[in-house]
Amino acid sequence: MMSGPRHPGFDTLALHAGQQPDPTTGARATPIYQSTSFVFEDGDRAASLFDVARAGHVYSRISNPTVAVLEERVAALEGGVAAVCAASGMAAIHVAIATICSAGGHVVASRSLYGGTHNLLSYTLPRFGVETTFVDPTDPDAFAAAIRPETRLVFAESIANPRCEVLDIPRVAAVAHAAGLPLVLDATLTTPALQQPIALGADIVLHSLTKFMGGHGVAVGGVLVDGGRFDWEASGRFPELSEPYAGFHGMDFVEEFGPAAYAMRARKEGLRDFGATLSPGNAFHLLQGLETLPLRMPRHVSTAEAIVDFLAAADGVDVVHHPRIPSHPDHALAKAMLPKGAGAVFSFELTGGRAAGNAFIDALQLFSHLANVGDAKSLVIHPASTTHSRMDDAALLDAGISPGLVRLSVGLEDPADLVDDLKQALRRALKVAGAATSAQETASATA
Amino acid sequence: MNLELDDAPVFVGTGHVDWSTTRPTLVLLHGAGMDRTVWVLLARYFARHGWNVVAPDWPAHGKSGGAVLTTIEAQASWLWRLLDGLRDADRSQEAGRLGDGPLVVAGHSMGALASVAMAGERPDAIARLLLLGAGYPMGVGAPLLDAAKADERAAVDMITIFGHAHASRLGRNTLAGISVVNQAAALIERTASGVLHADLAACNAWTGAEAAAKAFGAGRTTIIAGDEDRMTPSRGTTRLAGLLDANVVTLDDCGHMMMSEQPESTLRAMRAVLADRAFRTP
Repeated sequence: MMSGPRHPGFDTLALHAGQQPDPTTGARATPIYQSTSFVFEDGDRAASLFDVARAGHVYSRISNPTVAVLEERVAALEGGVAAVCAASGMAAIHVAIATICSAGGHVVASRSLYGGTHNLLSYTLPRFGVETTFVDPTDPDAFAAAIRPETRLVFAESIANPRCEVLDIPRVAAVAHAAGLPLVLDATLTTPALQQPIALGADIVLHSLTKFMGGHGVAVGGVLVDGGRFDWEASGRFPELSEPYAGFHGMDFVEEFGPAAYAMRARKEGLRDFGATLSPGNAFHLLQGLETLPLRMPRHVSTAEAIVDFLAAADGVDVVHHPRIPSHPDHALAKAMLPKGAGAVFSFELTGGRAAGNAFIDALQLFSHLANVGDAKSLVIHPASTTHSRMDDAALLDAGISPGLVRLSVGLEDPADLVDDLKQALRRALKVAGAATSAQETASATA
Repeated sequence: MNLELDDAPVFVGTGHVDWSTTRPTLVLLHGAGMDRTVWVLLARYFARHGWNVVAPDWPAHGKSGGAVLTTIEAQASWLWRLLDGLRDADRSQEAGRLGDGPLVVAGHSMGALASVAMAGERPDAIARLLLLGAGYPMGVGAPLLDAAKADERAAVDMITIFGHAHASRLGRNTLAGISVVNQAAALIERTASGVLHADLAACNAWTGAEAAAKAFGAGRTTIIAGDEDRMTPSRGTTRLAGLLDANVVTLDDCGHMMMSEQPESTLRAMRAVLADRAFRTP
């Protein structure tokens, strides 16, 4: 077989990137460096580490050898110049925004976002003087129209749940770049195994590592990846990166670190001052999960597609929101953006509304009813009776959530077992829906 | 520090410490397709250890403008004019003024060739040469030259693959979270069209090391080499060392990009040279 010079492949990086066998013990697995701090061999080294004149670890809030392996591995998998881990996906999002957006700043964001992100942008950041305009993520022109002089970033998700809207990354990135802004993208639901957003034009990529990246549902964590391609200085909007920072030795991050300026500021300020640091223990668990990401994601996708096909033909299901369905608005776009598959988190709508949704959820035996996605085990939630239970039906519809909408996160179980579980739960939901309809008809006839 | 030379903007990194006329000067010259940020840790270290650090972006690289310099001789000449200006008492600089004390020139790859050419041009003005990732002749293969000329991604891939040791390509950076391979790729991608090819062609074409070495003389050069450097393999390093009667320090598990691949080993090797009593601040 002919073989030219090539970089290590994705599967190899998932196992090896960022780590060599431990030089002291020979340990093959990444050791858990469960230490808050690291001894300085002498005063000169101490001063040099504080001055960023030598490489090394000082204090685990800012960097840690175990966490650093995870960071370098994710950077390698995403094709970024650097990565910075945080205590959770939300912590990573906060650091990502706060690194370049101060009071008086503005964000243009997709209106289809994870609820936690929506809350941060809608309610929390405004308390600190950062406003957000939400736009339709399927309309790149809407992003352009919402950009103001004080806008500092464009924010979106690669796939938005529950309706699986697919972002046209190159077009939205072009809109952002034309305005001198970075595209910050939450790619939690796709992972680099399905899509590498930096190559498509995104500048900063975010993950909740808690989800598919870790995959096992035992550790909470987040990461931001710096693509290293955005020209912060040329933009003229980011003095945080291109002018001396009094809070860190007067450092001009662009001047000193060039392509990695953003990641360095995120670490030196974001982790240092906000302190939402990933623990080395969690980093270790997440590394174990990441090793099998290339094997897990194709299985997640193939099983999800089998379930989509089943649900699309099933009695009691009104509509399935997945780009695999030809009538989905982003069916064609998904083929271009996500040729390896549009992920394994999607939603569908049950005939019979809220009551059918409740019955369906209660009848499931293999799917776990909980508020998470991206686990190796299949998960389900009925927003109308849980996360959005305080909304009436009209308010739910305004939020794009029908009373009968159910969200699935498809895991790695035998696909036939999952389909069987869904079948029996649908039968239960249909009975409830039928009973509700009969009662309604009886009531109407009586009236 | 921003200044102007030949009617074009020039950026000079200082390690973020102002210069003093009483200190020796350490010039750090980056290689093809790169910029001064490849020196960031070393620049900051030596700037805090008694040296005036001068780490310029070559024209058309990093934050410097102007036209790319297409020969190693042109680079050496440009550098001398830059240093002359920085020593000129009548010209104030943001970072102060360089003194007339000892001058050490350190160059990486293409910058190493420019360092040798500088030494040949003014042999008495340079106290020591430090050459990193250096060999002579610095032949560049036709596939790389062709890819660079066509601005093909393959040029970036060849440099980052051949330029890093096996372990570095997988990663194990001591500077937390940074992928040295992707960082190098991002730097090369930032250079304007034609610049990388001009750099590589200048390296490939240079034939002046014999004359420069003869002028500069023996025993004032140290070469720092990576044991897995496939951009400047050991045969060329040995030949250049022979011309300059240079001491060669070989770094283990290290390719061509030693400043990012093995920052601590590189620091130790440079520090051993720069610790010479002759360079101590009076």
